Amino acid sequence: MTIYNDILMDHYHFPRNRGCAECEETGTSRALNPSCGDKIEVKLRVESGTITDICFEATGCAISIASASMLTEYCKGKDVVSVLALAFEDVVRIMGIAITPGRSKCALLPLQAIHEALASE
Amino acid sequence: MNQSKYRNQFPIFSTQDKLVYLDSAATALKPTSVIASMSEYYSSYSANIHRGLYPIALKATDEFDSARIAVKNLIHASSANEIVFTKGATESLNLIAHSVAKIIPKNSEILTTICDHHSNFVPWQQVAKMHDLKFGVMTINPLTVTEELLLQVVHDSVTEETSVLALPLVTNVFGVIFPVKAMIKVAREKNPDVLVVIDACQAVAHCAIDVVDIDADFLVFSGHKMFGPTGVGVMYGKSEILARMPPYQFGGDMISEVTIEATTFNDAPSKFEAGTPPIGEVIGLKSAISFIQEVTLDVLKSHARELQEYAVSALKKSFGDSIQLYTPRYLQSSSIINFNLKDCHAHDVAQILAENDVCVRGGHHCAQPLHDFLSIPASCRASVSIYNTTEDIDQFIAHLKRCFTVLGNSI
Repeated sequence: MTIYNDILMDHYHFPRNRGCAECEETGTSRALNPSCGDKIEVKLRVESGTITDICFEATGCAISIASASMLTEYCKGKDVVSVLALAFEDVVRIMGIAITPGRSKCALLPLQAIHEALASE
Repeated sequence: MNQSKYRNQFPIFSTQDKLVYLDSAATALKPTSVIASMSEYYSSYSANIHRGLYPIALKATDEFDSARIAVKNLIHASSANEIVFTKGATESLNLIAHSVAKIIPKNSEILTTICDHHSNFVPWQQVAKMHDLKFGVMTINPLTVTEELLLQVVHDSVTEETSVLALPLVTNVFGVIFPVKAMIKVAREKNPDVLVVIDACQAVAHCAIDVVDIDADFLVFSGHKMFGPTGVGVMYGKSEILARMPPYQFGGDMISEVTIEATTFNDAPSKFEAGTPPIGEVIGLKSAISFIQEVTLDVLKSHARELQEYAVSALKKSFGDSIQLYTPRYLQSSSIINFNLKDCHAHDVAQILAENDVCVRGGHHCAQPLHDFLSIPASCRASVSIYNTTEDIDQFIAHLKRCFTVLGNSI
């Protein structure tokens, strides 16, 4: 059973919310996974406690890029409190794949960046 | 080539019949003889050593002590007392670093290389901080360096201030074989007092080692990379240096006399083996050495070399410009094939191979400074041993093609 299903690979090859040219961000952050060199920068705009815009730039493996794509898609329009409450189990549910311990850092890097961008506001 | 006649001695293949195990640089599989020797200890003479007067304690002590002689003979040490058992190469290196730091001159320099595994890098870096010593790193590109240039770097880097020189015998990322004998000679010409520490983890299952011939002061390796169990390793040290070193840990079995006021210590190796050692594992290690001697290091080396060459050639043929193979241009390499597929992240490649029972490593392989130095975020490492066959390599390449299909044309 592969975790590289069609949905995941679609998000990897065609990431949603990648590119930050038009974002009028209120918060931003960068996160790095030194064990594999994956990097992500997240920018987001919060208005009245709601994430109204979110985007990212990243280099990384399929899991981290797809996670960034799926999570930013999920977070857009959500209230900040509920996004700050997201944890590993939620990322697994949103991505819809079984993530082994060795890949949890890859899947969680975008969430870490989103949380830090919210904290940077 | 190359149906290994030794493959049937590894019982894992009878329970995992589809296994394509190409991660022996991380840990080698275990032959039946090693497993049986440990099982025999635990089931029929599971006593502590050096204390009991009853028959099974005497047998356990005999087996344990004969393992020390087997290690001595394997690496051609002068005396079995120069062989210290540890829980692994990492503990061996920590032992040396922490103990040696107390006998080398203040403000002297510990010198290592950018090619070293974190275990022959971080202990030195940290000990240098603790004891106000200098920490120097020779930035050597193992893929492009010539032997002449390598010796020049050693010549230029070792000074009168250098008290420790830590080197790999075979690098763990690319499997590059360092000409350590020549490097040590050059280092000693610059500074006769330098203590040379050799990490032989990636060498011990493929290369003949003679510590006297290469003139190493210390040499370390782990049992589990040489068909032995986890939890046991070796620290070789020259007798006269071991005699000068303070103990690393304190406890039972390493003491000569204890009073309320003070303790005197045994001589090496006992001085460095506080507490009950991993007896079953040491017995397993002895059996692993017997396995290596039965197969012979010549056969182990040539089998790995032939498979490595077969793999490199087949990878080039299959992927052309779409694969980056990290093979040394001038120095020799052993048993490791390191690569990246174009536009495919190393972790994704390793994961897709894993989903098909092909075991390789993706990442920085405990050598982050080297990957940073070479600007390679991560790489894939396949490594071969005596149980591998050309069929394993063919399977590996077939599944790599699938990786390329799934992952390619992106980023």
